[in-house]
Amino acid sequence: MRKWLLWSCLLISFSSWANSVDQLVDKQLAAKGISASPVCNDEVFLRRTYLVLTGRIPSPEVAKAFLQSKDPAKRDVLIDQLVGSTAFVEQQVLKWGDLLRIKSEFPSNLWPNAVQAYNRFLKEQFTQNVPYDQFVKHILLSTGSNFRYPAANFYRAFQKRTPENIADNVALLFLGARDIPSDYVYFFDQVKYKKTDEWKEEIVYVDKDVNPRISSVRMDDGAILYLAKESDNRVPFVEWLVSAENTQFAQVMVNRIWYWLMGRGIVDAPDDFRRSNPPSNSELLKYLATEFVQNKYDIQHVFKLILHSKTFQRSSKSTAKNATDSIYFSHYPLQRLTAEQFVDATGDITGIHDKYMSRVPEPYSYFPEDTRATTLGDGTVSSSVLELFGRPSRDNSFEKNRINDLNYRQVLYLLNSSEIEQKLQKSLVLQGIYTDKKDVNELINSVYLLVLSRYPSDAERKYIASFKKDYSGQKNLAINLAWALINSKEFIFNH
Amino acid sequence: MQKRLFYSVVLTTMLVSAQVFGAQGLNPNAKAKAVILLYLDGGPAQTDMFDPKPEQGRNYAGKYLQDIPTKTPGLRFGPKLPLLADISDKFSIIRSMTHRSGAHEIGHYYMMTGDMQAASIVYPSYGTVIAYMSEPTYKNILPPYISVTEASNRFNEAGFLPPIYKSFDTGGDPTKTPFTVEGIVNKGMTDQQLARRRVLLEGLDSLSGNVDVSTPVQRLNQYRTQDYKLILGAARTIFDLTQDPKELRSEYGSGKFGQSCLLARRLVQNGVKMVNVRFTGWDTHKEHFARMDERLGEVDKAVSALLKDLESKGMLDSTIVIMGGEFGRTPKVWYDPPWNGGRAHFGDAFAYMVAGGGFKGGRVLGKTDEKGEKVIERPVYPSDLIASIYLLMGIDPNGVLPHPAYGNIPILPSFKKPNQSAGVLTELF
Repeated sequence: MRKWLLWSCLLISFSSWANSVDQLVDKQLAAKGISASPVCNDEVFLRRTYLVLTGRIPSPEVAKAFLQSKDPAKRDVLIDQLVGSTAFVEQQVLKWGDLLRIKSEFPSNLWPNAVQAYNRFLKEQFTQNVPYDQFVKHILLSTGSNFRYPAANFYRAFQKRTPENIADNVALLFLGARDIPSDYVYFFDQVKYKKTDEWKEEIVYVDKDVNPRISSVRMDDGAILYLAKESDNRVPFVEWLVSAENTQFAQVMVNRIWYWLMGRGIVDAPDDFRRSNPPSNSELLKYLATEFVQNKYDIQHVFKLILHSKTFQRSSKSTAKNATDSIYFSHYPLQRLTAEQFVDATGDITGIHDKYMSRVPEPYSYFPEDTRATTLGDGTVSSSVLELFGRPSRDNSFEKNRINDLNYRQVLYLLNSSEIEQKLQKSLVLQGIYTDKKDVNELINSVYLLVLSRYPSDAERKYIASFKKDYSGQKNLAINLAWALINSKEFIFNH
Repeated sequence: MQKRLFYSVVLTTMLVSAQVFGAQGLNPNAKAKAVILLYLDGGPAQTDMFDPKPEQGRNYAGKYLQDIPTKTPGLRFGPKLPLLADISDKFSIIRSMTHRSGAHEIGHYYMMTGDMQAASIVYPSYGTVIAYMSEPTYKNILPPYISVTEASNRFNEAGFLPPIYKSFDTGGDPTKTPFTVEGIVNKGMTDQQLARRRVLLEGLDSLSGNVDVSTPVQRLNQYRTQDYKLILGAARTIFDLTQDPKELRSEYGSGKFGQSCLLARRLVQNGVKMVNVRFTGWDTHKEHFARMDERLGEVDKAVSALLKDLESKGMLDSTIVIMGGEFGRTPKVWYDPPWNGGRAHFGDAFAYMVAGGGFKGGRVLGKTDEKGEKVIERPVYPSDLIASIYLLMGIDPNGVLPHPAYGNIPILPSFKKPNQSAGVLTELF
């Protein structure tokens, strides 16, 4: 009864936020004869929300407090706390670092100083929640030194810097276009580069002496853009791109956010907006895009709109009536932890993070001890395990450059890696638990909170306690339990 | 009805993808069955090894003023490779490798992919391509492409192919007993401990409530079963170097490179298609000659042992062995500070060693000028070397690979392009 009350309170608080998202999803589900899975429990909600927004698993302290809290609005409070937080910004910098192909070496060849400057720029943008249209405009109209005007690195991150490659990339990133109209190249004809006396500094500039090859371009939506002599011809294109009339611009971004949060785009692949690849729910896509434009391209607003919805908070457990649905959002899809999420989570659990090194410039430089994989900022800096778990190469800007399928080698690594074993054996965090918790039940509780951010059920506790005779000593039990939980489906998948 | 439709969709998708994206496979009649790449990462000095220029004096040859004769008449090596000189009939030398880049990451990319187009598509390494192409007929429990102990991550080896075809990194240190292999051999774990953990895990592995027929959960279960066969099965002994006689082990040299070469032979012997033995530390800008003294000794011992061992086991005819780096080093020694006798990056002209699997021994291909600074005869580009490896492995160098966005594209885009290719190494076949 009390539980029921709690749920209805929650439902009321959701409805104030996101009824339109849910209405549009539910309407379609009803039309298709599919029923939605119920809303997930607090444990699942907490871990899911942390992972999608921050790339981290919730700490034991956070989990404990959240699960114990009786505040009926605690989910909404958590969402509002996390959106815009430092970890959220780091996650956005990672996403955009992937999309903008930020790498000090091949094939972007930005160079470490420029990579750092570019990352700092992104961090500022997302910390200030700069409206998306301004963010894109800033990047696309940038000029100047790769070290001093970091956004200008956008024009440097190409193995071959041609107007064709630039146009191709702009169209993919901001319009989800694959076969772009060749006319886009004319807007980028004037982008030029020159070296300075400073080592590896480079200036991106617009050479206004380059006369336009064509006087006007008719865009897909019928707009006619004029190119002129002695002016920056990127301007008419960018003004058109970010204008409210160009609805695809907003749609691509809201669809990306949806994809990041829901594991599948309304249009999927999320950056394939060709007509041959229609959205699974066009009303929903239009609604989100309209909200985005009306709220002055406020990125965080779109995040919240989705997060506060029931749709986001649905259980990943399918029912007989929705098991075959994978495109209408009747239940939350299982998603393997990403490379960075996985590596950082094992680091957080054991307190031992991997060490990273940059080979350029020589002599090699080392990252600070507890650097998270999420914040490396440079696709060139990597490790075997990050590669194994499908960290994107940053060779191209496709969202699916991040391949998050599970494969047998990842499972092999989880089951029997000496790297993981060493971390568990040497972990001071675990040591704290097994030296402090003399009571087996308390020990089991603590390891569950640490790895899965929840308490074990009575059945689980009983089951594990039955292994006590096999695992003599608290240390043995704690380490083996932590190993087993890291290998559990519940850990491997964001669910 | 809905379920039937679902299955038919899944089935059709599978069929279509097998046709469109499936590898053509390796030609079963091909001479070579496997490749061992001995990758001298950082760029080894060709003039101190296979293309000596002692007559240029100290400014070029440094302290290696005396070259040595080999078993092949007229062919001379640097002074630190006597064992290889003794068996020079078993391999050939390319003295005219060139790609003109002096940047590590570009050099790696060129040498590993053969692609010098500088377009927007990043190509897979030839090891990845071999793994991909061999898949339809590959029945081995070990991954088809293995790096000992770690692949370079200076570029994305998978290119546009799925990452599962990248090399499997063994990790660990093959000079240690036991040699721990990430995921396969975990130091200090007994079979009993492994089995007990498995029981513990399976009993508390929740999340089983899903009704979905094709959930990732099912895949996880399947992989786990498969992986435990690898963890608990005979595959482990392949990595156990103590299975080889002690004398043979020491012939390879006790260092990491020597033992890695031995492991490479064991892997190929057990059906692995491509092994990359990555020997790092060849970027000798400083203290060049002291470092070369040490390293060349290791190379001489290990590589001569490997070639002899492969031959004695009847494997050399079917195993390609390649040795070289991402580029060479400046023929001229840099004596001024801060280098104080070092050699810098050099992509204009450098050397590669090739042996086995259809490559003839005792030959020299190409020529550099008297100082070793220019190729003056028969340039060999990365795409030529890789095309030759493909041919010997039964892969069509004029074939295609499936790009996820652009469909079928050439497997070796630079092959037969001017300034990026000068043809297959038929002189060595």
